[in-house]
Amino acid sequence: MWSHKKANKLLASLAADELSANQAAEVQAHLADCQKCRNDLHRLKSLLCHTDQLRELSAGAEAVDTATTALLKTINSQSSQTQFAKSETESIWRTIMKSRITKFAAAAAIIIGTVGLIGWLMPGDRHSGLAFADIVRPILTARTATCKMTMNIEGRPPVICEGMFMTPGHARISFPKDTMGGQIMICDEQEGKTLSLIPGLKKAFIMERKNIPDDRSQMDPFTQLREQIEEAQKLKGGSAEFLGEKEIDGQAAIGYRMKDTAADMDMTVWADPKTKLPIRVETSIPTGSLTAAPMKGIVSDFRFNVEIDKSLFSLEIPEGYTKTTMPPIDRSKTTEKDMLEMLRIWTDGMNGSFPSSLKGFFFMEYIKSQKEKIEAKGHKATEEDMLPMQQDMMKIARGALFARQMPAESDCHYVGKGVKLGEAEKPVFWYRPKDSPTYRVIYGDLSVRDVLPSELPAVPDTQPSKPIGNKKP
Amino acid sequence: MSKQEFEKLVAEFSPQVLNVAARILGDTSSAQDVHQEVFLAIWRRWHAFDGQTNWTGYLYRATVRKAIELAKRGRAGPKTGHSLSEMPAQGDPLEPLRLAELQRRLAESLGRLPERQAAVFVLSRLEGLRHDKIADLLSCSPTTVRGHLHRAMRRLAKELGDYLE
Repeated sequence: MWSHKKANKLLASLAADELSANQAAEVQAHLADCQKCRNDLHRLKSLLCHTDQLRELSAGAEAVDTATTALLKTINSQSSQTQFAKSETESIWRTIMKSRITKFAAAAAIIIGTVGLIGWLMPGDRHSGLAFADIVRPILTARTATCKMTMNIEGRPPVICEGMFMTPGHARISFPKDTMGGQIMICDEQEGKTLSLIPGLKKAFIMERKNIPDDRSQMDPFTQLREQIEEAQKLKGGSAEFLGEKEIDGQAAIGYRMKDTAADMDMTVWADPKTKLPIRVETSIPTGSLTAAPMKGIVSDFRFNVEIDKSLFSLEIPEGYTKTTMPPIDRSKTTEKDMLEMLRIWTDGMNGSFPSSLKGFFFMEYIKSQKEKIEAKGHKATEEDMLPMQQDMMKIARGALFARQMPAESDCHYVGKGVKLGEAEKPVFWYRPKDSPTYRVIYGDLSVRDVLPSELPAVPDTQPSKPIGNKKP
Repeated sequence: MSKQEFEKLVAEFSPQVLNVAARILGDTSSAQDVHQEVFLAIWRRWHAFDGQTNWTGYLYRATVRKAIELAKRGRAGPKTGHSLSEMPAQGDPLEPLRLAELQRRLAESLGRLPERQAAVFVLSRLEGLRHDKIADLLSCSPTTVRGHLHRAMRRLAKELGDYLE
């Protein structure tokens, strides 16, 4: 005869008539001697009997009519008051949804995509402001370079990557095995492609950037860095502060500090005073959260003009790897529509609240919130859960880029902190298009109006007073 | 995809969404709230859909998820004795009240289950779907479905024990 434990485990199957005749007989034999199991079975059968009755219930035709009418009324009402930016990006959800992206790869892709986005779409965020010609000359003129990149986030172990660069536009970044599964990211800016390899899983992800502006030389990260440095030298991106001398890893070093006012980030460059070669670049990037400490990045162990095998930058997928194509990153010029789309996605996902700021890694709050929502339901994020977030992140990045790339003469302001979606009289963002006599103002209901300078909203006391445009007139 | 196509989707699938929500939550008012939230969420991302979506599966999952979310927030159960318009005829005049009470308590208990178990239970016992069909909808195996269902049954039977005696 079966044990109590074995028989009890099969009671649900018995109640649902799922057991074979032999199995049912074994369970019944146990039931003859077990009151507890008989009680449990009775409750299970009673539960099924009652739920069978519920199955016959329906809402009714009148309820369907009422619900449909109310829904369409709501939609028509929203459509006449707000502008929904229509994305020109082709939807590739069909390809994504049919893929077998693992939870690890999806999470890694989002992290890489987000980190990669910062590098690709926001070139000023980490590299602007290296101000002094002598220190930065190797970066400006190097044909190849290698370095170590360390990212420190409070409460987590540091993530240390190895970076390799070769002009024009080739980059290879290797992530550690213990935190990122040994992922390797290879970028070819001329081709407009990024290949991510996860050796442990033999998976490869290809991401293409579409709508690349004609001047491809603008796109490779090394060239972007160089251009940012040259602009910083003209003091268009901020001001440099000499920090004096100190010792780093037993080596004498002199330091300069640059601030990127638009993104509220600062960068310190330490260089060897004799060779004038950079030793270490330190960055501090706010997360956009009021409670989380800023992220700290360190780039060190530079080597310039070393021999690097060009095949290391090949985008060919190694044999045995499964290939997945990720949604393309739109590199076209950002517009007001991108800002509106970003605000719509954000308020949709954050219970009607607007971002507190558009500075630094403000989008971390969004990622954190969406993940918490998924996990609050009692299960860890699945592939299906993570993929819409990646698409949303790309659109959020484009919206933020629109604001950050505003010239100083646009006099743009972001004042959305504390505003709730639907508050039609509260401004969220405004700017003056080039040569325009009026400002474009986005309000809390996502409507946009042209407003005379004399009628601009006063900046509320709680909002940051300095404009977020990047370039001084 | 156009607005007309969205309206067509609403017309075609509103009964499914409302019925599933009503069976979980026990009243048409709450079911209509679920209906609105589910379709509004789709409408906000309408531009991202490419006409290849399996709407039956998508809407089953979205509706079950939203209804259970409302159940967790304490929105479960009919406000009046029997607010569903088509109740089965029963000899016992108290039967509708018992059914209403069952729905309320079942919805509350479903809200306390892990989401997957709750979804499988609803799709199997309230919607009458087969295990292989549920496996397709939830992207898992029929064996996994069976496991979730039995765990859900045991837990619900335990939680509703007094009522089921």
